[in-house]
Amino acid sequence: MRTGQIDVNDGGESADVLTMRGEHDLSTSEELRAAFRACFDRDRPVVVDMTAVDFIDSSIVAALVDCGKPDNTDDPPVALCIPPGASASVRRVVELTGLANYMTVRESLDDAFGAIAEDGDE
Amino acid sequence: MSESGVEGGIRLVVPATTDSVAIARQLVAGVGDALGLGEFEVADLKLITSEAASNVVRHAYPDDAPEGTGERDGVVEICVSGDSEKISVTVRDDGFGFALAQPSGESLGLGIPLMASVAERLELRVREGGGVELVAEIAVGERRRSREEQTPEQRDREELGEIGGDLAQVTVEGELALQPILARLIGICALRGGLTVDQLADTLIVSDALSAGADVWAGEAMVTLAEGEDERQAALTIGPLVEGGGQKLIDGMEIPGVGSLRKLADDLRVEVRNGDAPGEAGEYLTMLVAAPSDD
Repeated sequence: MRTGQIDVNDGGESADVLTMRGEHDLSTSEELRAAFRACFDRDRPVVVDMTAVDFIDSSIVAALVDCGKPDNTDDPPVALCIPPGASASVRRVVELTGLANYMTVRESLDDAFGAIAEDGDE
Repeated sequence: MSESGVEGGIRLVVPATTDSVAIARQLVAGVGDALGLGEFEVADLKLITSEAASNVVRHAYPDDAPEGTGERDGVVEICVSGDSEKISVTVRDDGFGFALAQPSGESLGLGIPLMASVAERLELRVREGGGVELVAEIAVGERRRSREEQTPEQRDREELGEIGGDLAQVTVEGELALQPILARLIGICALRGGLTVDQLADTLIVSDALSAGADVWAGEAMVTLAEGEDERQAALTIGPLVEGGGQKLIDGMEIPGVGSLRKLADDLRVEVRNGDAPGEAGEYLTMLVAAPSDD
């Protein structure tokens, strides 16, 4: 039973956008990793829009960290968008796991794209 | 909060498959809603259930399980019970259990620390005859009263996990389960300390060293993860240990050819506590890990 949805959208020149919706767990973590790989195979940076995510657990945190950690130097940059109005449950998991210690997390899509652009300038 | 409770409990038995994780989660969410729990209590129940059921799906019934260690195709059982004061979620399997499993890349070993962070009580037992039972308790009554005394700003920060006392406390019954649980708690200690994912591998070595000596424990093993003296520090405390047990564990961190694992910690302390309850008195060893400075 899949309770979450992941869409890949072309975000223009700077990055692809993985838009996650609903509840995500073990049943969608592989799909998330595959979506990252598809973007990386095309050498596209990734912005993950988690605005409409209602639930994540540690399998999703692990997939995000594995795919988005800055020391994956061979892969294009990744930034997460988790706005202040995102699900409190999601923000709580992000806080408790210290996810922002591992990857770029921003509060708006504009800021996430900005972080990707800065990364590309370095 | 409804006056009605679910003291008799609601029980769900489903196949240990990925599809069942969401089903289990929806069940507890439904119970929480029916009891009139707040948004965060329901969210915590869902997180605990999702993590515990995922553990069973990942680890309880491996295809290569040795003979006699459990069923290869099994089920996960979820029970929810409680009243206006506390809600308990019990998740059990009769399989191989995650006791012998190491944290994997699929979850980074974050599941147990996360559950322990949001539950007021978390107990793990290796069941006789195979399998693991996990019991998590959420003190909904205490939380409700505490919220009523807080300002809106304090409430928001605490609900997001930014402030508060212990970050995680786990009681372990059965020494088999100790090492993987310690590994996960040390892992989250390192995460909060801002160490890199690769450095997490070092923490597995520390957990091996700390859980190696079964003869140092003075009772049921209790592992607590809390903020240190400042918010940049994480403090992992284990005990109760027998007299001299703390030093014995520290001595055990000297690995021939590798050196001392003590360098992974910023500080190691041994203290004697009388304990608040029977069985809690003894020595406690605390490991402090600090986040790297931004300078």
